[in-house]
Amino acid sequence: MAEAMMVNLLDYQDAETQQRILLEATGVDYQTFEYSGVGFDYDALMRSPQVEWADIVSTQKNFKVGETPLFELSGVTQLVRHMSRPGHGAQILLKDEAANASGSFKARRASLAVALAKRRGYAGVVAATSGNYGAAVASQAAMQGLKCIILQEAYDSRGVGQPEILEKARACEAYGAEVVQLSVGPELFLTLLKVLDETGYFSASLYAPYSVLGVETLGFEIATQCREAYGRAPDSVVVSHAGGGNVTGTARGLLRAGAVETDVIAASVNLAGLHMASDGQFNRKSFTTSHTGFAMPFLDQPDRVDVPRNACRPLRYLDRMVTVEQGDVFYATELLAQFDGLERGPAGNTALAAAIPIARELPDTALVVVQESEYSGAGKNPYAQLAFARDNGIEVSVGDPRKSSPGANIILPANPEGMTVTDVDLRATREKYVRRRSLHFDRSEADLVFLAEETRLPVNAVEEIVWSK
Amino acid sequence: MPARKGSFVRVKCLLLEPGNRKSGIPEDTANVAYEMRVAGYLAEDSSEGDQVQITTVTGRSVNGALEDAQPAYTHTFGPIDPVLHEVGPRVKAWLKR
Repeated sequence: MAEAMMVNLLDYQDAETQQRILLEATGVDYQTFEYSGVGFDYDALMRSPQVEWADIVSTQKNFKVGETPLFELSGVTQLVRHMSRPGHGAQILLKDEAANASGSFKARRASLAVALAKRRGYAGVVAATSGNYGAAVASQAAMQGLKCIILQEAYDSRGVGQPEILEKARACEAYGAEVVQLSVGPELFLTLLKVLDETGYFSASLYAPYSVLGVETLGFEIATQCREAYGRAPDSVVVSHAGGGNVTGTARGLLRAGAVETDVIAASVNLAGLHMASDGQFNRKSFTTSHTGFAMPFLDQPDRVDVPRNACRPLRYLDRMVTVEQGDVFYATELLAQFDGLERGPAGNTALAAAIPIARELPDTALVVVQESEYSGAGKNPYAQLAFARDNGIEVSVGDPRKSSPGANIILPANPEGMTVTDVDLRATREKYVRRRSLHFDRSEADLVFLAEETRLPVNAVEEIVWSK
Repeated sequence: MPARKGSFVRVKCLLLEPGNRKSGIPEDTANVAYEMRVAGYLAEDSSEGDQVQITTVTGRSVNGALEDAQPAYTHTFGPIDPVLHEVGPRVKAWLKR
């Protein structure tokens, strides 16, 4: 029995098997978008769900998603201005995405995925996620009358699970979903394929085009709401960044609204040094999303996901990327609660933690939008998470967060002036992206244009890198 | 702990033995089993530790060891953390400086 199961799971490593299952489970034939070299037709992929903008907006409205408030964070802005040079300290705004059904922006992605699954006649949906997306898919499946299975990487080999992940499992079950909880390891993808193969359900992948299209409404609403309240689009939008869907969808929505001057800034929690597939390190981090463990590899290797081509392509859209420390985010969570009266989940405040030091350097006439918030609750709360960290041997103290070492300690700043961001060298990342693909570059014009669009590097800069190989 | 047929329980299943994991993963992960936990309705009267069959809420049959006859949500808001608890008062004092 056990022997048969072992063979079965590893059998899903076979490329043809994967292609067959994903074609059935997504309805997208990814082969049709491929060029002969390294590139593919990204615009055609994004058009492939064949849903009109008006359809996306009305689908979300029907399923209790979108049109969330854009609040002025007057308390946090007051703190920023208290420590800024004269004439500096931008107004910070918060797009309160916790107001969506299921309590996060992930409902935007899930609503569209589940609606498409239903229209195409699937009996159920499956998603692999230990984050808010699971609750979002479960909530949408409940509303739209489909069955739902959520796969989570949940426990280490001791059977210990992060409180935040356990809370998300509870939420999924509250919405009537089946939750498959797995131990640590990349075999999550093989298990997903097995479940898709067995059930014939739709793959509500986070990396499919509809998942990104669903976030475009978020960027669009931000631009529209800012124009209504202030007569112009925001100067900067700060986005909590992990897999890239949030950045990609929000930026595309801003562009759709004509907000071409708005800077899109990604913010991720620094988890450098922790290996995401390590059983021993799994519970030594306090963030299960919005962190560099996902964000960095996805920048230059976006296609290492659960579909053949990732619709989330952050390098195409990012103007700037910064990291913050775990302690900064817990600190920002306290500031939001105690100075703006909003208790929101910690991980979703990654963008807020970055926006505070960013706003400090901008003129006081500038508008900085923090583009998401998420619900807070048992397990998804700084006290629960710091207690869990201490139980796993992590030291918690006050000092300079930049001196913290992920997996060993969490350092909170002594006051808001101690909050900083560290810039990621995006130019180097863009060049690395091209270098990685030079070996398979087929010298076609299509590939050259693809790499330039992927990286936002000038064509001649791309040429220089590929010819130097 | 015994569990009655039809009750909602959680099972644990061995998916991959230690040493038979996907190649290229960290050593500490490769050296432990790959496990799955799923909850569902129990097919027969059983006790914790027994090999059992369950039917999940989506109607799938899953075989595994009965791990928990009465699954519970035990995650909490946590104890008050002394470092975090000081943040609000400290920042209020800082604002007055």
